[in-house]
Amino acid sequence: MKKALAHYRRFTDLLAKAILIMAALIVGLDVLSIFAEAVGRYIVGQSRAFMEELPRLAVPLVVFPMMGVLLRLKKHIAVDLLPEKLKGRARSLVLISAYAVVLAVAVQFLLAGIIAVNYYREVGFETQTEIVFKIWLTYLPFPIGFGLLVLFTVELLWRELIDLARLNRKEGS
Amino acid sequence: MIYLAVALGVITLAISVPIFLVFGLSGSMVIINVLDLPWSILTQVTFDSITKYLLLAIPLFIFSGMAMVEGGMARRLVDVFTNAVGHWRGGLGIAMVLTMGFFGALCGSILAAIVAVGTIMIPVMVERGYNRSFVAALAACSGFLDTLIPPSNGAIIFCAITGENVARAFASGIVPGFVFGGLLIAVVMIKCRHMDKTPRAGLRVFLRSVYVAAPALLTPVLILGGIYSGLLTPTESAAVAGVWAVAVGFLVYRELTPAGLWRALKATAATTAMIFAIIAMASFMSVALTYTRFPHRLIEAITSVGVTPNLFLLAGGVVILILGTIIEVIPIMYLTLPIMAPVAGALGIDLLHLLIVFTAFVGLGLLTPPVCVGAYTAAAIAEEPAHRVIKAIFPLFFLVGIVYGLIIIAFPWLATWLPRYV
Repeated sequence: MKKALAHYRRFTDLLAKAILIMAALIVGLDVLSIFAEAVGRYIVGQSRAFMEELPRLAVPLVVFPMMGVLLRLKKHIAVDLLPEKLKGRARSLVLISAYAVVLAVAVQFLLAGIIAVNYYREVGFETQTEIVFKIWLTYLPFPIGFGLLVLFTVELLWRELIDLARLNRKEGS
Repeated sequence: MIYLAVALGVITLAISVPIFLVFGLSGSMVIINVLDLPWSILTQVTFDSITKYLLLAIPLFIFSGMAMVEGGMARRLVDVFTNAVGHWRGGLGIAMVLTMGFFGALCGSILAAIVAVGTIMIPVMVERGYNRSFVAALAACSGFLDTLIPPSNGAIIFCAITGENVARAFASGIVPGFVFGGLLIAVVMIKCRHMDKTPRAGLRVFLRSVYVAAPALLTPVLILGGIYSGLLTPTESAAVAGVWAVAVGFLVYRELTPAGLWRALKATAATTAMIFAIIAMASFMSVALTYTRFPHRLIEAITSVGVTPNLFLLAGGVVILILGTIIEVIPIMYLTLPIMAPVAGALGIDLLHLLIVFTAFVGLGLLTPPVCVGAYTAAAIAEEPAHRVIKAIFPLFFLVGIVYGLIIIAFPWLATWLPRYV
């Protein structure tokens, strides 16, 4: 079990790094794009609409894929009272319950996202932007983000279950 | 089903499920099962909520703050204010309040300000004989000046929720910021009246520090001047501030390294995702509130009872304070403002007054355990146990916060006077 988890963690480590690099690059490009739009308007006298539209459309690409990375880093805002007050098995059980809820909600939203993206793909709506995109493409980060959240939550749940088993063995001996 | 959703929300919150998922779970339960709306609508609402052009200012201001911290602007500001008032009794404490206030005009993040200014000032103050717990408590409290002094990320989110004008919302925080800063300075002058004075910096030294800090001192002019002159939107001004911070850090102070810039970008991406995940999922709650007409029913109930505006603000303040002890500011905004804003409108309360009252009480809540990130951060910087810092906050700084909150409720013009000229 532990060995399998170690392999899985190597995979999620890489995934988390790749997502963070992508998100950081998008933030940098957003800054440059909006800056270029503002400067262009006053220096050249005109700016292109896509310079303002693309950073907006790129926000979901930062937000949804990062949800799992933040869960792993414990950087999401949560009420951490119980895990901080409790110790040992009780703490482990609370964390397992929390991760189980996260996993259930993430799976539900993943399925919902797939349904929604399929719906928009069928109706064929397009964005009203200078560079035109199919709407379903812009909504794609939603199911992808929740899919990634499922992968990261599985790791955390797995780790916590191993911890609980270790604590149980310790108490048993 | 609505009660079940609320109960499930409370339970999942208690077992430390991330708040954005609690919002998503409870909101979607009501929307799908009670209101019978399709998932396609929810996905659309989620995307509309996070792709607003105005909200793009938040990651850009966060980035500019991070780049300023990495690029050495904070240290120059500390030098200016220490040279200006450091020789007064409690001068370093006053310098900390002033620097925090000024740093608030550079970036919109409380924690960035506490880290940037606190890391430099706390060790110096402790070395000069200031009580470590008091200094950390002062850093945590004065960090909240950042929520008042523009640009403030809280004000941007407030505007995204209520539709208020951002330039006016920014302006509404300036006078209350001076009031709160004044109260903190009064506390420092009283508490530190027995402290030894530090030697006065000469005029040449002071002018030299102003010269060196000029790029940092000019930043608020760039940000706010751009917005109020109509040259830049708040989002553009945030991007200009970001590029300015990078340019100053690289070319003028030469303290910003490529690694530092990368750290700033990564930290911005993480903080942005944290905030926007809540905004995205809170949009489910907004849909639920709108379709169930809960705010309208509340307005009818409150107006029929004859609640006065001040009583409403006071009651709302207490609720926000209580919520602030367990939840962070952004979730509280999305939990309360969609309900409070329409009620405030019906009672004739200016939305900007509501914003400043909200900020006052949420600030107090965030200084109150168990959730008091500002105090924990300051404690970590001061290398002081968190419980001692919290002891230093209570009752003195807490009472200052209460007094400030009551002043703001009693005198709405403190929040509404300046925005009239915007």
